Amino acid sequence: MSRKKTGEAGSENTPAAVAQRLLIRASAGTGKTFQLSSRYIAILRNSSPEKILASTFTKKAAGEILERILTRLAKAVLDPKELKMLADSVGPPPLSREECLKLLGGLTRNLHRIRISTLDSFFSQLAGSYALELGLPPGWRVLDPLEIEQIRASAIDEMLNTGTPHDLVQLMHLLDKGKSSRSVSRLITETISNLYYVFLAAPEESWERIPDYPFLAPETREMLRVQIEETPLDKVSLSKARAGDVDAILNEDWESLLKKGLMPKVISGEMKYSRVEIPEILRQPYEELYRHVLASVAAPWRNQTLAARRLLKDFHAVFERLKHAASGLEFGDVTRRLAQAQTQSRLVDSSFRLDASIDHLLLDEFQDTSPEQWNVIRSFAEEACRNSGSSFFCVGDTKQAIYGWRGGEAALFDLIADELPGTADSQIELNLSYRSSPAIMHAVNVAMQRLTHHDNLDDHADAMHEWGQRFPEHRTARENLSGYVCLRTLSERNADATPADEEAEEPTEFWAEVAAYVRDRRREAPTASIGILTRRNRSVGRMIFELNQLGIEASEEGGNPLTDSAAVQLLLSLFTLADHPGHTAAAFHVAKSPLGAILQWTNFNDTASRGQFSEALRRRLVDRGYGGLVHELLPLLAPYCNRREYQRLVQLSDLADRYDGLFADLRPSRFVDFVEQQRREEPSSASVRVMTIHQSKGLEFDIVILPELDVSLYQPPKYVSHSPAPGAPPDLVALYRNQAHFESLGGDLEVARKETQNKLFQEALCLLYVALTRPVRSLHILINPKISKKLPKTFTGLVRAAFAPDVPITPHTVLWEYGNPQWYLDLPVSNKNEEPAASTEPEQPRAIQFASQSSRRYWKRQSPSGTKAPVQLSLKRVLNSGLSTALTKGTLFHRWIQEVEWIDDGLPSASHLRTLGHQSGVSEPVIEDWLKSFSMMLESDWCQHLLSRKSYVSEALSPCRPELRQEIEQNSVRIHVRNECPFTVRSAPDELLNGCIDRLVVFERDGEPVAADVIDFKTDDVSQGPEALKERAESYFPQMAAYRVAVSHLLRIPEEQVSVRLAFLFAGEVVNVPR
Amino acid sequence: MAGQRVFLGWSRPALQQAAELLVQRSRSNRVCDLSHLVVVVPGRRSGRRLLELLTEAADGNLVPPRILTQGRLPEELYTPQRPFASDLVQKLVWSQALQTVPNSCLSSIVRQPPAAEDFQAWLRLGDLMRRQHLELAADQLDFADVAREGVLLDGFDESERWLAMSKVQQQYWKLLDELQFWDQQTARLVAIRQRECRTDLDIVTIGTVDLNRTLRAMLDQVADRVTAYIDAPEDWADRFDAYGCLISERWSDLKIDLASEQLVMADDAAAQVDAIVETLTNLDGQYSMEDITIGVPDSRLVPLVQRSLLAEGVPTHWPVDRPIPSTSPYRLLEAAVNFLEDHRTDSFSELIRHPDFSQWLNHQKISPDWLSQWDQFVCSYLTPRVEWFPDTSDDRSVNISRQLYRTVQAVLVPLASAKVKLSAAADPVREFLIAIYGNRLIDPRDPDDARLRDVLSQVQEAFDSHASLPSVLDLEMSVVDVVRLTMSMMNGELYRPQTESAIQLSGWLDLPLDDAPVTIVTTFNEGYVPESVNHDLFLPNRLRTHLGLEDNVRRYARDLYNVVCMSHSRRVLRLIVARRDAMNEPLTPSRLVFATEDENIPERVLRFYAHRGRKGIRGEPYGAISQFKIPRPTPRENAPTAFRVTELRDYLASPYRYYLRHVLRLGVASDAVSELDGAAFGVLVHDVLNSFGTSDFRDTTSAVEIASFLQQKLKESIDQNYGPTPLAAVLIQMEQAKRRLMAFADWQSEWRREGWVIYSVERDVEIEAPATIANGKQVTLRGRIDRVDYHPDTGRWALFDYKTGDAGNAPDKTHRHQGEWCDLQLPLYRHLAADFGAVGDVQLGYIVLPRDTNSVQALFGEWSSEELAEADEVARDVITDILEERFWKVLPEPSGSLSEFDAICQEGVFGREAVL
Ligand code: SF4
Repeated sequence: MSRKKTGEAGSENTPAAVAQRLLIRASAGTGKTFQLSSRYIAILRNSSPEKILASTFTKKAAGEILERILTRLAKAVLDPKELKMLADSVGPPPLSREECLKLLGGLTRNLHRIRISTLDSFFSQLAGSYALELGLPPGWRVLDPLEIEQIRASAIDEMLNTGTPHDLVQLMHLLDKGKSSRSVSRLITETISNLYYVFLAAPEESWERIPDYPFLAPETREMLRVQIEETPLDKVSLSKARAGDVDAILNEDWESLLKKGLMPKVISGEMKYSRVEIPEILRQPYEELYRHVLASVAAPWRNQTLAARRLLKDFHAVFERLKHAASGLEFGDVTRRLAQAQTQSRLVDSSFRLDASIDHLLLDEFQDTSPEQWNVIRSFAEEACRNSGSSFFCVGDTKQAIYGWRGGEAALFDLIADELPGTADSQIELNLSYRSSPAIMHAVNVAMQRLTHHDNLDDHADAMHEWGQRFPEHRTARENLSGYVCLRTLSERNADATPADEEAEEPTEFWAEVAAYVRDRRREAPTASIGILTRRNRSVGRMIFELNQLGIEASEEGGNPLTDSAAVQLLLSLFTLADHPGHTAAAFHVAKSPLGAILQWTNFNDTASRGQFSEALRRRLVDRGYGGLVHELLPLLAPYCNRREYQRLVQLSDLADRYDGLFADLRPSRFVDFVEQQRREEPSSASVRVMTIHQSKGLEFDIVILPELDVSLYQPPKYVSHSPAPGAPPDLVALYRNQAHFESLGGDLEVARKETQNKLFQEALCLLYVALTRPVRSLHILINPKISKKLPKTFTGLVRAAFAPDVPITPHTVLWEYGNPQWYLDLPVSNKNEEPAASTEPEQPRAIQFASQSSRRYWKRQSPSGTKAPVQLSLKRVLNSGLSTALTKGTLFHRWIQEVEWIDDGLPSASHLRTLGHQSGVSEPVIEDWLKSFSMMLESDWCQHLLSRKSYVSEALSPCRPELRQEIEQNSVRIHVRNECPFTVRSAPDELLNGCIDRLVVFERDGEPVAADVIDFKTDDVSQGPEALKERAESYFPQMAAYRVAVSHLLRIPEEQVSVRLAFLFAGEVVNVPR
Repeated sequence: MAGQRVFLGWSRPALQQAAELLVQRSRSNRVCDLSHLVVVVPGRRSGRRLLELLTEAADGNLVPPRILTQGRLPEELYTPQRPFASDLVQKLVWSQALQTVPNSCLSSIVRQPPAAEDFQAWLRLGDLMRRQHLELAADQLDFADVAREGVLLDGFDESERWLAMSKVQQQYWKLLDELQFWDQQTARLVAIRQRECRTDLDIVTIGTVDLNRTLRAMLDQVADRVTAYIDAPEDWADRFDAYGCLISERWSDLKIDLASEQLVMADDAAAQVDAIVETLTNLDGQYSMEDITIGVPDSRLVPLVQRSLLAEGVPTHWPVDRPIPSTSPYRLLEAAVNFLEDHRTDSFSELIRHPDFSQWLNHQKISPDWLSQWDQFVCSYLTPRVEWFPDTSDDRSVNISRQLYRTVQAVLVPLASAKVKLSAAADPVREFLIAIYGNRLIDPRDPDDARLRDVLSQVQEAFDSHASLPSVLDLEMSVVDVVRLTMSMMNGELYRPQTESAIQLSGWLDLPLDDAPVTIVTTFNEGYVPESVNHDLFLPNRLRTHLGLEDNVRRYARDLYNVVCMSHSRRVLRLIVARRDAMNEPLTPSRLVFATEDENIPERVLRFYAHRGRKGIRGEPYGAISQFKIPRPTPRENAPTAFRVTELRDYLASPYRYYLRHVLRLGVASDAVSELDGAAFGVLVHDVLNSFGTSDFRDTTSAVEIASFLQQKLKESIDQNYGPTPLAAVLIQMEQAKRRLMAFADWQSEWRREGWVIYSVERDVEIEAPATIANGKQVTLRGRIDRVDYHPDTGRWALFDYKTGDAGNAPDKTHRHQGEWCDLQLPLYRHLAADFGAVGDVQLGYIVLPRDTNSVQALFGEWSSEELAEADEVARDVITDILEERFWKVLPEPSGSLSEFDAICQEGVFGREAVL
């Protein structure tokens, strides 16, 4: 099945079937995951999972690899055919069913030790284990992308707020190339978003590579001008051109001198102007003046580039500081720190803190690896290549390298062969597809091999040639699968669209036409999966909408702004109003909408009403969170929604929940800004899926429709850079200027430009390759019938060049087709899994029902202090309670007094009390003091009365009824005291009353309780006088009443037999609680 | 060890049986008195439930036992002689300990120690040490033990590090001792070592299968008083130790027989909810809500579950109310110190929007629209910090904002103090909180009010707790820093009791002792059930195993045991295994799913990965078409008679939006200004140019003089409007404006040399509209002409508008679009000009000051008289339409202007009601 070039077997400990080193270049559809999982299983036969690191780029892909491994093993156990297939791909010794079962059992028991993950998450583990060595802030975490955005914005804000103005003015002027744009923040924001990535990668010197040419002195220039002007010329055309040149010199318009007139002819050595010979005598002055022209090109360019770097440096400092303050890092930071650390000491010895050494490396999608990532992983790879019992494997496809903008560096793939010992000879190419029909493969081969037929891409001739050279002929294993490919034009549209409109959005009719085309394909092949792949994110939503209009449900995987929904816009107006009561437009929007009725607010014209409404909203947001509020409104708004609007609201509520988890700010506008920047996809199981080409990577569809290839191959870059070797940091960085500037300065700058643009061009080719290789059966490329002299520099241009370079363009024409247009006839007629909603009536949902009778498992709690609490409680009192020392003293006195049983029987020892004091954290001099006042308190009359047995028989003091007093005196009733008596009473069928009585005195006749006295100690400050005492005491009455009830229940005595008293320790007052 | 073990079996819920057994131990016949017992349960929740069951078993009246969670038991067993160091004290002392060990020592712990003054960083590092210490001490270990024991472990190369940490630990103990504090963990170890553990209470543990080593050593000393109630039948006895803890190794290979319907596979979070709904539906009303518990090991799922079930009419209860940092008082303090720290306008704007603060402000003597006025002020003056107010008294927004600021400043005084001892910081905070909240009366039965009360007392307590700090640790810092420090430690959660009938949601750890007959567990996935550690900064799994700390085997055993209990004691058990989590990231099944015979594994794997289509949404709550309508114009009461010449373009762009702006007078408000916007930039330049037009230099031909005048005016204008320290962005923009003005100076001097003189500037004109426009009605036209120039030699006039947009477009480009008039300003100027005699050869144009200063110049609208007449016709039609209130006009394509009404007009909405 594959052509193995060479490759030695691994060293002795590796299973015979597993080559120690293997690099696979796997074209699309050739079973990359299959290869990787085979390899994994082979290694697993002699290793444990924590020693095998398999990495890829998304968590989803990592999940799929594990899925593949587990399901292949499971199927092999259950099905002898599968077993044979697995055994074949895993290699000798032959795999048996028992071994599969053993491997599967081993894996499922060790799911927690499996290391199949993204590189980012492996790096986070590594960094987490070495945080202190790497200098990461303790407690660091990886920031959510949403947080990063906020921090980035604050950093820019801070620069604009507090930056040194003079520097910034200077900088702006340079950045703006001498112009004076009004908006500063846009300039800064753009500079940062365009260049921050390269700033991090490129050393400072690399920004200084634009030559610093000297200008000519004015006298010299004047002299040269005179020299040029005074040279006698006989041809009119020459002297006319010269006059223009002289004007330009006088006006110091070096730009036009560079492009027009005699200068370019002299410099290029052509020495002819409109076929007229330029006299040799002019050569010298022009050439000399050219030095000045060059200086005038180079100087502002250089300054602008340097200014940009200075700006980035300032930004970087602020950004880092803010991230540090948040104890957070980006994944990129983690990788960079690790890469730096790797240069000092290697982390391969990290096996201890990682709980295992990584012996085997399997790297997926290697073409997307960034240089920093490679720098971290390289030493692991080297070890894996070198050590016996280890192995290294990587798989990727440089033809699918579409993540250059994210730092992916496909050239690393070619590099590892040189860098890693022994890998050069262990490479395999896979070009046999297990996905696509021969028709598709044919189209891919034609498209990719005939790129050079494009007549209008001279700039990239070399790159195209190289691509063609390297492109391996694709074949397919599914030789008998019928398929169909076509390139066709749609309707003609607005003819006066200028080339500048190439990036303009396609009009509604265009998408409607595509939707109709999709509908027709679906009618032909109702059971086939269809992928509509767009070039731009925003087109996904358009497409979905048009499909919906035709009644076609589609899975939205592109991600559209949430604000394409009226319901979401309405809620955003609500939040805006919450933040800005003066925003009358938002107020009107809300008041006149269903929300106005729901929230019962329509008075948008009234200033005071807006103010109140907005404050009430802010309160709700603080109390409930954004998510809470949206969720409250969701069911109320639902009746006004159609399906899509409703989905959008659900997405908004999810987003709001997520926001609540990250930020707790008081500015609803920030949430509005946040929502406006969010894109949300809506994946579903519909058989029609719409997404960008980028997102389609790794997926396949029976039918693929490419409706949006009429776009440029790439946008002009923001900067150019040059690296001495793939993956090495750039040694030249310059902002992008027009091509003439590059050409005039030439040298490394021009090399860098070509290199940069070629990279972009290659990425565009990769994107086209990805798009073309998605279909299983049939591919439809829909293009605009726009006539141009040369082939456009677009994806359309490329496919036309390959498929139909000479076919004239007319609307509604099939320019090229291949295969069987009726390929779908062999599809199954219907597929019962398909779209249950559309085909079958949804069964009537049954309601959830509950039994009404049950023992309640969750009882209400009634804590005595909460019973019948006053309806209005002043927060001042809450805040004033427990001024710190008073609190401690109160607690301690409370504790101490409970050590007293009967005061007539003696007092607790001072040392015991002191220990209790120490335990509560009161230290010496204070304790001494307090002990003194405590013992004074005990000696006081009221305390003696309260805590003594005797007082219960005193007529004046006893709370007891006279009959009881008598019985006590006669000893027919005995008194017990119990301090700190907890109780729990069922006060209603599902209600518990529980609490703790400070001092409970029980009167027993013949061992049966007959009455009780409840004493509750209070340490409140009631020194303000009798009124305060009364008020405070009364506030405790409900609580005390509950105690009475509880004691009566507990002791089974009538409530009248329970007396309750409050003792205010610091005031020396005892209050009887009325029955 | 001689603890007694009681096996409860699985015939009935463990807690119920335990309650019945306990009640039998009452020491009184009359009332059930269990006050001689300490009952230890694994979690708060089971303790709560136990109390109910006990009360029930005791016929409603009970002197309850002490019910504790296992973490609270140790202190019952010995008498601490000194106060325990609080978390803050521990952190402070750990960080001091770190700072006092030799550098060589420190560098084996952290490669780059924090800077000496970076208090927070040291504190965080201290906290890191503290947490290792807590964990090790719970299993009777200290750092030196790790260094010593570790050596015996293959691959351990960290002795140096642990020895260094041990030095720090000793330093910690020493410092703490000097401060007369005890470290709670250490105190327990000391108590064990000195055999001080004793109690006169009987201890009963219920279902505590995972007691740490320290606790078990303490129990050893009181073993005769300990009874373990074990939730398992007798014949499982050999899997438990004397205190009923699991013997991990005896669980690792145990197979459990989950029935296939007990495992439910679901794709994602939404599908998990579907599975819950399906399960509930299939119960067919046999159980009440109280009989059902839903386990939610991944708490991120809680909002979704709660809200989706509520939509089905099923209320649920989740005990966590909210994290303290998200509560209102917390956020108030945070906003207040944020502002005090940086005095930035942003921070101020945030503080005054806090609802509690707003409410307080509403009771102060400030105009009720203070917030709108503040926004206005911020937008007009762009001050980066709140410290400067422009010197003017005729701007209402300035006056109100100044007053607002003073009011706020006054209430913040207590928090603004720069130096205060930690122990004394509670008072200023209290003072501030009383100012804001003191006059509020709340109703504690209202959950929001109750929460407010609880948080306020917790906040207050947190500050009060500093009062007991020993003087060495009683640092002096600003109130702002104290607030930050204190609040950083308040990261707990508030709980809310269940009040209504609802299905309980529960975390995983609370599930085992739960006595609901129906249990549905969500996210039965690896990483949640069980959790595992596979790498660590200090204690990776192998080292944990080696030291006998909690490790993956123990976690697995515990969770396996839980599942076993549940599968035996529940009448209905559903374990939902999800393929993707709440963030849509892939999950793997719990290993417990595979704790079965090997032969069953392949089928379970395939079942998990089998593709399932999502079932349709149940009972779709939405309709077929969107009912969001754009509000229709309503008839106005008074028809206007006067029109500004500039407003007509709005009607031409969009009649409906014209209606919103000019009839309803709707506008926007914002304070998101990071620089001058186009309008403000324009005003700045206009003001300077106008003052030039009335100055003595208006007639000069000297570019230098003009330039220096403009420059000076610009500076003045900036000083006046943006204060002494404007935003950096404004200064840059001033520079940009200056460059444009300098170019203007050159143009002006040239223009003057050509003979043009300035006739008037900013001339306000109001005229009766000419008949061609008035169309028989009473119509007034108004306008302000930026500048009127006159050429005495030729008698020509030029009417100018200054334009400061970046592009510098010519009049024709802005007035006409694809051959149609879209703006009528300049053509109408010529009627206004007639009012002051500017007739005849009148040119209409712009003086543009664009981004490219080489293009500063006058640009004229070269319109023929026919074209101008057509403009008049357009004006007539527009005015007629406005008077006849034709505002609802659907446009062929979006106009792109008056974008402040985009939301009202459903701009960007697919299937919008109408393009307006
Ligand atoms: S197609 Fe080839 S590699 Fe794949 S299972 Fe069959 S024989 Fe093995």
